[in-house]
Amino acid sequence: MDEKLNQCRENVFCGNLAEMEQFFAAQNQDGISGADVMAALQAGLEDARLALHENHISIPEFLIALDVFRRGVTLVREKQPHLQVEAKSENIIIGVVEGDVHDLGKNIVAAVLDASGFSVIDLGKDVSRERLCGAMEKHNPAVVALSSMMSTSLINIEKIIHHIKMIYPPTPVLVGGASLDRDLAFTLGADGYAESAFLALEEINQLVAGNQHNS
Amino acid sequence: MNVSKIFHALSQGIIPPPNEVPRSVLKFAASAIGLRGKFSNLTTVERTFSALFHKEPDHVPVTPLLCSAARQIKGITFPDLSLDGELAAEVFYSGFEFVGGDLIVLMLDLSVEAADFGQKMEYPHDTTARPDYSRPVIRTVEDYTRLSPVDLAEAHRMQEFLKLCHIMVRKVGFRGLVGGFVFGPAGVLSMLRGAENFLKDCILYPEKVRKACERVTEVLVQYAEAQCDTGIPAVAIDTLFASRSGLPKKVWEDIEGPFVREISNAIKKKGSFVGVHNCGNAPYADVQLKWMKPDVLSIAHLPDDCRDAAELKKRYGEEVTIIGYVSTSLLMRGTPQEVIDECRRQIDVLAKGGGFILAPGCEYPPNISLNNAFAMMEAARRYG
Repeated sequence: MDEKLNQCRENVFCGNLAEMEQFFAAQNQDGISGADVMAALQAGLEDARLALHENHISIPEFLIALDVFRRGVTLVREKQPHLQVEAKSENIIIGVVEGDVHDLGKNIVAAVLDASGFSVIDLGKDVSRERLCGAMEKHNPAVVALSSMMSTSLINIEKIIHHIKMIYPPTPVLVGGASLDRDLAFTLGADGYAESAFLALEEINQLVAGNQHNS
Repeated sequence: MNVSKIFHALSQGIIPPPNEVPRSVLKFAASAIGLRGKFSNLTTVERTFSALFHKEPDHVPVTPLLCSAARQIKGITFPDLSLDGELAAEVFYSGFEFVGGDLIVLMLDLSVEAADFGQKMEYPHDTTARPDYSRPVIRTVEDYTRLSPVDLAEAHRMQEFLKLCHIMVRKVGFRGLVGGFVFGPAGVLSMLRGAENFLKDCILYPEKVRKACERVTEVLVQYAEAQCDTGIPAVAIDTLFASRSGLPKKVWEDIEGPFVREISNAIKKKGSFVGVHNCGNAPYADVQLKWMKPDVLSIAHLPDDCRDAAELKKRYGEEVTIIGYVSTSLLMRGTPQEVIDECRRQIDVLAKGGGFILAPGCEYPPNISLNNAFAMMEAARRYG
């Protein structure tokens, strides 16, 4: 990758917002394509995701990298509004289960999925069954991803999964959050469990591939 | 040694501040109790005391950390538990009577201090109190510098908690150790700012965050001292952000370390024990012990430098009493027998030589049956 693009990638990984702004200010003279810049931004975020998984960086450092990534994407789109971006793949609905308002983990996963090419419908927090089902009806997701940090809201996850299985049986459900582990996730009826933001992407890919194979 | 303080406590029927007694005397007493425990049943206080001083009691002490789960016993609601000290005492005391335990930790919820710093709270009926994040007290980074200390006397939630402490210490008396609770300054600030923004601010604007920690700590020190003044013999400091769920280790030391040391020193000066509670993933036991020098470390997950429970015991078992760490997930999905089996596994590794109190990693899940709390009690009795 070109040195300038490498710098762009590094700016995301290191969370260097000021340098990212400077990069775009200088970019016009260099004639680097918007598509290449997007690829560099995504590579930087992927580097950060891997580093988070390996405990080389922390959650706040990843969040800062994410902010720089988002700023970079905004700047690319401002400069090249007609840039053809690769069509988003499957729809993923994500949200924090009803009764819970802790959305840090969910926000990280949503951003990672979005940067990885999925079309993410983020319903936010304290998502009721009705709102979730409305979104499923509208978007026909490949996977539904639910988050719960509090043990008090786990009963709601179980109810929602049960409802999804009745109404939309082919749609796999992925769960994650501090109150869960793999055994509990499957006891509640989930099809997948994400121990971390890193593993969430791998799990989603597996669930999507499995769903495509079965359909 | 403050003899009058000791006698004053005894005359009220409550446990005296343990650190008012010379350490050598306490160690000797613990040895004697440990020896007695080989031949007869100990009282709950003797059992806990013995374990705290790294002597093996008659069986491992256990606390189910029922907290808000005990509200089911009398049908008290979450909002009443959060807002009314007397009703909260009914919850904790009924849990102690119904299920038992050698230690009661008054973990109400994590919103107490933040509420008194002006954070709008929601009090749902089916879960613990939480901030209304649409209206954070700290909206921008500049708001850290505008944060003012609050007058403890006017702090409603903290005053209700002190009422809870006062009632519980007298109701339980010599039948069990009652521990207080303080959310560390980083935790309080995260409630006022929102966790995501707070975490980033710690990296990007550490000076501003530290200044706010300083102001919050002024109040937390008074709050912890006030808990000790009610007769509480031990106070737990919650330092969630000292873990991989929170800040990098060096950043935590920089942001919160000196301030939790201040709180810890204040508690010790009052003669009480210091506990650290951290239910985050991979907690940083090394730096928490360095800054707070606690008597007790309560965890939900293995520390970042321990591969397994055996290494936990080896690294930290002589320095601190470990409380934990049956998982929330097991308590929710497991049968009583599975819970007993896991407790036995942990007891086998961690209880040898004292220095271990069996407990859930965090508070007992509030909305499930109490069966698995009974299972933990049984495991301690049978295998401890």
